[in-house]
Amino acid sequence: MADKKTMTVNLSDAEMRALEEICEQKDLSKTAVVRQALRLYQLVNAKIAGGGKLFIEDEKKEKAELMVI
Amino acid sequence: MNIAQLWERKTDRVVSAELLPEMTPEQVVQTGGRWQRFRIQARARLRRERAPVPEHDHWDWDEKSHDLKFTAYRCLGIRYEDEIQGLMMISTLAVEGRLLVHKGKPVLYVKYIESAPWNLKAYVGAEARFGGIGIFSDSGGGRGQRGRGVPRPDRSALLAPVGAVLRKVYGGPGNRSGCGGAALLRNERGAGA
Repeated sequence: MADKKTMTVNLSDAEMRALEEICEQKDLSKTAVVRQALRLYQLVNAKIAGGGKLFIEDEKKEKAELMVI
Repeated sequence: MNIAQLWERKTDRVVSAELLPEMTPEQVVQTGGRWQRFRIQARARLRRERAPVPEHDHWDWDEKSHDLKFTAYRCLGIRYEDEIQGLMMISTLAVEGRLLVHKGKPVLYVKYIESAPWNLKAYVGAEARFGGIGIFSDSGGGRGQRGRGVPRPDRSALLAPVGAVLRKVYGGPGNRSGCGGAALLRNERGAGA
């Protein structure tokens, strides 16, 4: 991550609240949370594009497929 | 320049090597090729001597380098005398420690870690050059000196900068977390000493 670029992001109040909640919960800066989200999205997107599926398992061990667009 | 310390077995001295915090896929492929050429010769000798071939002998860094197209992965290396002496592939996705002592604290996930084949006794016996590259630390905690003689690096050279790596991985400047504090390293696969 040698060269960094700066950008402005427009978020709704609800989206900003969600971002701030995650920052608080994870003790991370907004930049760090956005970076994490991008890394995860890029990886998941590529896996799904390659034919993979994403499942969430609940406490009852029941799995639900997560559809990512 | 980022510095990593390596222990030269033969001379029992510690040398300063360069830590490469973010290797390009091309560098990883080139390193893998160099190691592979060395391995082929070492493997032929081991077979002649009817000695076992190391378990990770099939590792292919060319293939592993494909992960680097994702920002979720990063590869670190250690360079000494123009040779890469060790490679470590990590995940940059935030993971919390599962052990009670690390609960709620960020963990660096090590996907692969390997020492160059000329540093491994399994390939070259007593001629193995550097120690301290791969895995002999799993908690980021210091181990002090190993045995007598000169003070050896108290952690694996690739794992020692884990605090700094975590800070970069989890957000860099502006990160409010004291990331370096509890760096549990979950090692999925490793080959090195």
